[in-house]
Amino acid sequence: MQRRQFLRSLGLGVGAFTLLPPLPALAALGDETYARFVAARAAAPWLAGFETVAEDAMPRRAVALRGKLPKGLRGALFRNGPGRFDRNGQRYRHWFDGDGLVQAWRLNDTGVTHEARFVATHKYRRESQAGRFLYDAAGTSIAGSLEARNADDMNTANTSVLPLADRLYALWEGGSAWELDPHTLRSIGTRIFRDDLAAIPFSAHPLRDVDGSLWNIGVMAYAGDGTLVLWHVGADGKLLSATPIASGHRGYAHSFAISERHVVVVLSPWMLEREIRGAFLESLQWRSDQAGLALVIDKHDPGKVRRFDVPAGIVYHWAGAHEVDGAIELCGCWYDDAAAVNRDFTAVMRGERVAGAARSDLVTLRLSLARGEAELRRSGVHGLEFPDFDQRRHGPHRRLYALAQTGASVANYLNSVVAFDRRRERLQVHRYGEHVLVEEHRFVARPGSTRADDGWLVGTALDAARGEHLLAVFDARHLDDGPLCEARLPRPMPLSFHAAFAAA
Amino acid sequence: MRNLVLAGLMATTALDAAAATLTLKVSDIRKDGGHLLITVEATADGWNGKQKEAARARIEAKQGELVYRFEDLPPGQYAVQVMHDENDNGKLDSNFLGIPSEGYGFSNNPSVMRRATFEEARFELPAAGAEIDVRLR
Repeated sequence: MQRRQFLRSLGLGVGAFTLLPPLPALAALGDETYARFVAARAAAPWLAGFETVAEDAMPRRAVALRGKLPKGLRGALFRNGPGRFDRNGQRYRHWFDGDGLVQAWRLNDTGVTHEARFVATHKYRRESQAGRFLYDAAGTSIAGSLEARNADDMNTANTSVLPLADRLYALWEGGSAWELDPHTLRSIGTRIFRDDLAAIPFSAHPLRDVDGSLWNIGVMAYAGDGTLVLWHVGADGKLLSATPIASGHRGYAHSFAISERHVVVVLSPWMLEREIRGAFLESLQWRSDQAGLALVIDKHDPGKVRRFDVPAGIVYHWAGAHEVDGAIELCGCWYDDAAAVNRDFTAVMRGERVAGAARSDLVTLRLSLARGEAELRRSGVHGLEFPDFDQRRHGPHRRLYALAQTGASVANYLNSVVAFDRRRERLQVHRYGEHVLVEEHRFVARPGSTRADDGWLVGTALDAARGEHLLAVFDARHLDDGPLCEARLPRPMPLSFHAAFAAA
Repeated sequence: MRNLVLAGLMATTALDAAAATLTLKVSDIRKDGGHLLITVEATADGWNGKQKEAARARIEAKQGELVYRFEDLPPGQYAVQVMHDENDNGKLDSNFLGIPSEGYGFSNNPSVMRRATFEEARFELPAAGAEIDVRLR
């Protein structure tokens, strides 16, 4: 990739875009969103899952524990998700917009503690000072917004957390990883791996390889004709390589998969078809008439990239890949229509139940290296999300952990955690209940054990009936025995997206 | 005596026609340190590096706002670009895509997530002078 002289060029592939006339002033839809949410909130305790936390931080406090923490399970479950949706009477229209609120549930010999702190991003600091939103967000255009210097001006650092080499990072797919102190959750600053990589996207779903190194992607539909960066970071946290790849596809990818020898990225035809103006997501068009693109990248020679057309659909969360019979098989939670899924994320901001029109299909995407063809196999298992699996070894992964909605839910949202045995095609389920909104549960291996799936499933959930937030620990192999122990915070938290466990 | 006065008046008028003052207010400078590098271009070719600039300045950067005056500019159309060279290495640091990591701004403060074109940044400088604001990103 040639280094571009920003001052001399017209910028990033501008020639590929039509310069649009200025958009008409956007209606103050944010205010209507706020009014509707406030009106709905009083009668719907579950909406605490989408309510703003007004404080900058919640200090560490001990939380009541029922049952005993399993021997060997010690450390911190870090979580991240949007926690600030409103400023000055204006509310974001999209769930993904809120500023990142990082939480730590610490599991010690003395019990369990909880604490939280907003990531002090550039955006958070400036908007706190100004008392209002200043920057356009992914799903909300802000009237009179400031122009961003680069992606990190708008970085909400709100999607996931990454413990790495005794450090902690808050992740957001549009920009840099944001470094935090793992003991206090205080913000340190953007992680710049190398000067020429400043503000290059570092996705919220990095993947640990079996050698302890970390892979990640940065998707930039707006660069050139569509550009991807493949990151490789050592177990010590230092950069091993950053490889730009010209995908030539302006589609979207939230996560990716790794197999023994390859990194696989699938770009969905949710296309950036014009220059970004205002809310990024509003510049994307769902093109069901176009193909997605699977890029199969050789780990040992990232310049070697195989390309496959794939059916139009979207997977937010891939759940592993492995090599078999001259093909690579990926597993993921597939949706046929990205636009329909996206609409659910605006409904909750207005205080409406999730419409739930979009339910995922658990699929296998098989990429034949010999024939150069892709095949989508639908399992018929519907409604799973936030998948996890034992990542210590390469696939096939016999056991898949995920969230689901079983039976009634006041919010029409995920309320159960499941373990799917793919060989036996059997599902173990723990249903939390009608009034509980469940968050991602993570598999944590028992220290010293190498047996697959020997460990625990650790996760959290909002109990709307009791106005509490809970943490639960399960034996990963016996999910339907129910929690081994449960800790409860006497207040609900806004729902977080992703979590990571850092063993003590 | 009357001819001298008239000649004086005419001489003054001739000077005004050639010398307009551009008052530039640069705002939102995020920190002290380094220098603001300001270029004033009169043509698209100049803007795109194919011609010499109409005027330039290098001033010590201070957090907040700064005002700088360009005097003796011929009235006409111009576009201004400001860079905050925070580390004084003589250039606008950027990543491999060319997206800056130091502060920058353009006259008219256009809402674009890329370098403004000359047309987008262009403004009129009349003989009586003009004041413009450039907000640094």
